[in-house]
Amino acid sequence: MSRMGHGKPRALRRGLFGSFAWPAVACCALFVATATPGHGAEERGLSLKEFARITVLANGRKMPLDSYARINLLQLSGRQRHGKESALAWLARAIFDPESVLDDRFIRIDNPEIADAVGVERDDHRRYGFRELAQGYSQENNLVMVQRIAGIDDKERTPFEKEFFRTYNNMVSFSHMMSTYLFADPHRDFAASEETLATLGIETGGNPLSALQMLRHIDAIRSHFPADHQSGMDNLAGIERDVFQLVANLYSRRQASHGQNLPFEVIPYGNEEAADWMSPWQATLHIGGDPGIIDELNLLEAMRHAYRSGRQLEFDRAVRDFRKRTSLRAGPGFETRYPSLELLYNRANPFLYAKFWYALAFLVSLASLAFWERRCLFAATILIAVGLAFHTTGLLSRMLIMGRPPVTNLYATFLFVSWICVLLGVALMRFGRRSVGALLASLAGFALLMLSGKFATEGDTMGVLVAVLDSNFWLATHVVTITIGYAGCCAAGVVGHIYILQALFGKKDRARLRGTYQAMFGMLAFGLIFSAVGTILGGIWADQSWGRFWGWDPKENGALMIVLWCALLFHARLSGMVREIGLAAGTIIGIFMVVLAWFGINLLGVGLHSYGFTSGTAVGMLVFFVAETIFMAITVPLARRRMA
Amino acid sequence: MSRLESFAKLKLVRAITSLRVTVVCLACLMVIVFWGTIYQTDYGLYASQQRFFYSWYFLAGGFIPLPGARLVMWVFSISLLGATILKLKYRWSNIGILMTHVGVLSFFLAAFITFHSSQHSSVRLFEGGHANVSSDYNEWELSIWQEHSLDASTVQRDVVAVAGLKEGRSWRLSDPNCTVDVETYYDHCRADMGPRSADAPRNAAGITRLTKQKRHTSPEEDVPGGIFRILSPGGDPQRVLLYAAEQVPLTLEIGDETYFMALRRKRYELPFSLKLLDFERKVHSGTAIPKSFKSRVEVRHADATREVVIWMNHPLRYADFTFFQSSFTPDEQGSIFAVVENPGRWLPYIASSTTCLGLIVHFVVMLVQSRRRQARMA
Amino acid sequence: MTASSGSPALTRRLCVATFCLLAAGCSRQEEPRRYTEIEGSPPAAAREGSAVAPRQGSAAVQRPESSGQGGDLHWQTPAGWTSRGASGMRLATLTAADSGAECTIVRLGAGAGGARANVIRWLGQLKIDLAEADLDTFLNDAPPIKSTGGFVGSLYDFTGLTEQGDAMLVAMFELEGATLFVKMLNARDVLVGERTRFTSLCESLRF
Repeated sequence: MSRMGHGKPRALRRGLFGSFAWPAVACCALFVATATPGHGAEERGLSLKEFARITVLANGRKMPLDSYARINLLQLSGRQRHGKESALAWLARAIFDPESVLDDRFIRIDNPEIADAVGVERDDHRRYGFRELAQGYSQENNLVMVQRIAGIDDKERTPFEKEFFRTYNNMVSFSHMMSTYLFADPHRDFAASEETLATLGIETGGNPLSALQMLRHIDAIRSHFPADHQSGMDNLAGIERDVFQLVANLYSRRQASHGQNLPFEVIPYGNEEAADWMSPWQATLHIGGDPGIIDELNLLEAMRHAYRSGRQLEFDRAVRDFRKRTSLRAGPGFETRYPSLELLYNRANPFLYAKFWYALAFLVSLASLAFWERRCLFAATILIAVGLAFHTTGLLSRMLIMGRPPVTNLYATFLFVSWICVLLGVALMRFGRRSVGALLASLAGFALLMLSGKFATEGDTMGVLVAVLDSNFWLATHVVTITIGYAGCCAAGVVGHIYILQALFGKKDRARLRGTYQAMFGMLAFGLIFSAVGTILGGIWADQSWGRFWGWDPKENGALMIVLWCALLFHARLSGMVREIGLAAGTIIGIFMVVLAWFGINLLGVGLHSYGFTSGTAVGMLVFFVAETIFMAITVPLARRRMA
Repeated sequence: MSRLESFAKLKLVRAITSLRVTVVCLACLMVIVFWGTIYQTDYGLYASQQRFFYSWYFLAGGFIPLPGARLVMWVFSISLLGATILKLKYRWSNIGILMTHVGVLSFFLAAFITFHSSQHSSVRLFEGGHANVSSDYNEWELSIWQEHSLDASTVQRDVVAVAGLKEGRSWRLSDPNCTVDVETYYDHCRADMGPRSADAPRNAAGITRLTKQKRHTSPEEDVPGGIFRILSPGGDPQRVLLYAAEQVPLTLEIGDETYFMALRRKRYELPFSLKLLDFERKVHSGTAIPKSFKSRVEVRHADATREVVIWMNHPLRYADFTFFQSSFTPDEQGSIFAVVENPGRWLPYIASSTTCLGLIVHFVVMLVQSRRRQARMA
Repeated sequence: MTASSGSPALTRRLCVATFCLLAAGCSRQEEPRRYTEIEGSPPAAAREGSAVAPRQGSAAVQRPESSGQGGDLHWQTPAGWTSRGASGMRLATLTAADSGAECTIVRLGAGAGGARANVIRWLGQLKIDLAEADLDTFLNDAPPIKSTGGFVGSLYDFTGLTEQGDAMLVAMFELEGATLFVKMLNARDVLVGERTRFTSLCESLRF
């Protein structure tokens, strides 16, 4: 802001501060407040700051527990917070005190028919509690339904069946999560007489034993294990019989299949690379091979105890000791790449702020068309710059955390395409098309970031890559290039809209229109070049990994359509088959091509005949196509008449 | 007027090199690509390739002939060639455009050569095993062979094979001296065991009947079968039933010798023998997401051997052949390689670099020109 | 004029060229091909127990056979299959390397519910409906099977009952005080191909 000191008019300065600076400052303060570690007091008055840093293995990568909580909550409820509670606090309740989450409404069901089918009242917020759903799902007919759906191929399922099954699976995985502490809970299978317990020296206060308690006293139990156990239980009596029963039950319970795939894999086990991670329950199975694991289990139990009794110091100490022990066990390379950065990235939510500033910038840019053009554009420039700073920080953090180029999955393409669009807008502003540039940067930045949110609910947005994609070289070249190509074509389309609207409603300012036209032309050329180079690089990658340069598969065809369309537009313009307005309409159709390539043309085919056409993305695509077609059908002829 | 100029003025030449042809070709290609992609949802990649991309024309709605990608690409490349030679302005500011057009032309050349002379097949090896042949994905052949052991674990088969099996076809072979007639042949069928009747054809697994089935959308999954008549001079005609899923070959007496016979995927000889030393598959820990597939192989050419590691995105290249890590057997002890033989495999790379460079050069030229124009106007 | 004289000639040439290309694309009957195939099987010892020398003609199925044993039962593992040890009730699980199909050998108490009850259970498992009369025929027509160890039993081949999807091959031997099941469940087409090896396994069973 120091630039403003040098000779900018006072009025401008006052205007800026008067209208925009205060909300901006307020937002900055808000951001700082949320981004500062040690966020607001949780319900129990416990800070989970230390807890958040526990490393857990999920979706094939190591991540801090905070990310794990967010991913799980996102999967279940489509949000990263549960009401006022952070995802981490929710997770802590779910594993430490499952009873307290049973009636919370966080399981999202989009299709209200599911609610009817399981006999739950429809909820306007589309979120339901675990207990009510579990009751509904455990009815005989619904269990049969689940069985039936499980036997159908996913592609053949109706939308209802898909949602019914998805919800069921969500409930199963959540119930697993609530069973994390199964190893430390007393279980009636581990009941023994007072006498036996006294002999073994175990104090239970009348409760049955837990698996953990048995493992703690494994030496005592071993010493009382009947030497002559081959002949079976019938020949045993008294303590020996009790102990034999206990061990047999422990063994069979540990073998039980449901116990083996409990989540919460926080205990590294095995070699240097810590390739194997176990949940506490699995750890009870491995205790024979590594008796030291009992310490981790004890610490986990201490954690729960401290959490339940609300003792911050004890809780933090248990968490810290646990982290220390696990990292010792796993050796170097144990933690995530940048744990603090990932925590900060989670809390700060940079893309949310970027979105906010872009939206503001867009409003200001729009205002600039009506009044105070220079001042408004100046303000918009600053707002875009702030948004871009957040945006860039977010992208860079993701790259650092993952150790990958910026684009690795569908969600990330949105972040990157919007970023390139903003950069293109800024470039236009720099090249003297300030108004068009500001509109492009703010609108594309905002709209695409908005859309990205729709694709984040699938789970981990920083997940691992399958083998064939696991090549930073090709991700950095082909994927990034083709994505820049998408961005170029999108930008051209946005400018195309602006051109048509300018031609229709703007003042009769030929030079200005000409400027917009050149901007559009340049964006289109940019888009053509990057999509062509990207497509070709894709061909080379395919040749390198499958032995054919081109195979006409949907993804390849999508990219090819963009290239063909851009080439067609240039040649049609060159031959005079279309004029400026035609080219502008062409760039809008270019967005269609990008959308098709981006989501896969074949999705349209799948969506078209999946029952009742309800696949969300395909509907979105179609609505967009129809809206744009209507827009062009009305504006293009009018604009042509006005231009003539 | 030079000859070239007068040639360029011909009506037909002018028509064919006009920008309109380019635009129409591009538009046709777009329609074909779009349609062909949607078509894949229902009918699979292979059917779509055959109908839209490798065909001269296709019938829309069963009776309206529309140009296929092959025809459009021919017209396009001729038009492009003409335009590049006759119409493009040869000057420095146009160098990017020229390079791009030459690049696109070489893509068409590469496509032509690849389409007509490349061969795709696969080799499956178990750890410790080796082979000098690869098998086709879609084509099947009737193989007749004699075999002898070279050592405890190696066999040599001298094979004579006929491909392109179709009902009514017949071949005359010299060694073994016999004729092979195809009595029935199904591209995809199911086999049934059953009580043997006297006139049933011979089969190793006890199959007595083949029933024709609807073909899969990807022909790779088809299991063909057929009944063949083997006639040797001085012998009785023998009827044999072969089903492609059979694991054990049929033994057959022709003349005084014993032969083996089976319906197998068409084999191609490789320029060397490939031995699998070790296959390794890794998943991301805690998931089923594959992380890497890696094979250590030994390449034996004459008596010289060398070790090579083949893994994802890192194929083995040898002459016109390229070997890719493609899959593995269910027990994870065997590795499956895709083999591509393509004499024109360098062409796409030349085309790619020319096109990309041309596009980038032209963009830079455009940028410089527009800056100059702006500077002049200011 | 050049234009009028030039274009028909060119058109003609184009036509001829197109025709040639079309003709080249048409299919012809392929000539027989000869080639020498040299194939080496992996050393059997690396994959399983002791190996025996390949029999004449068995090399075509790629790998020599080896013997296996579970408890007091012995058998020859068919070439191309691998044998995993006992687990739970199973005396052995054998896997076909090519198709991944699994074959299990299980021993249950005498009778084990009888052939009819078992077949009905298997039919249910395969979701095959069979009329009572057809069931009788199926049971009666099951071919007898005899092993080198002198076991006598029946082979129930479900591949004939289904058009597609899963099917089963089961050999059921009544031994003294026990019933032995050799069972393979997989896609129908896979089983048809593996049948020869399956029967060879059954026929090799002995104590």
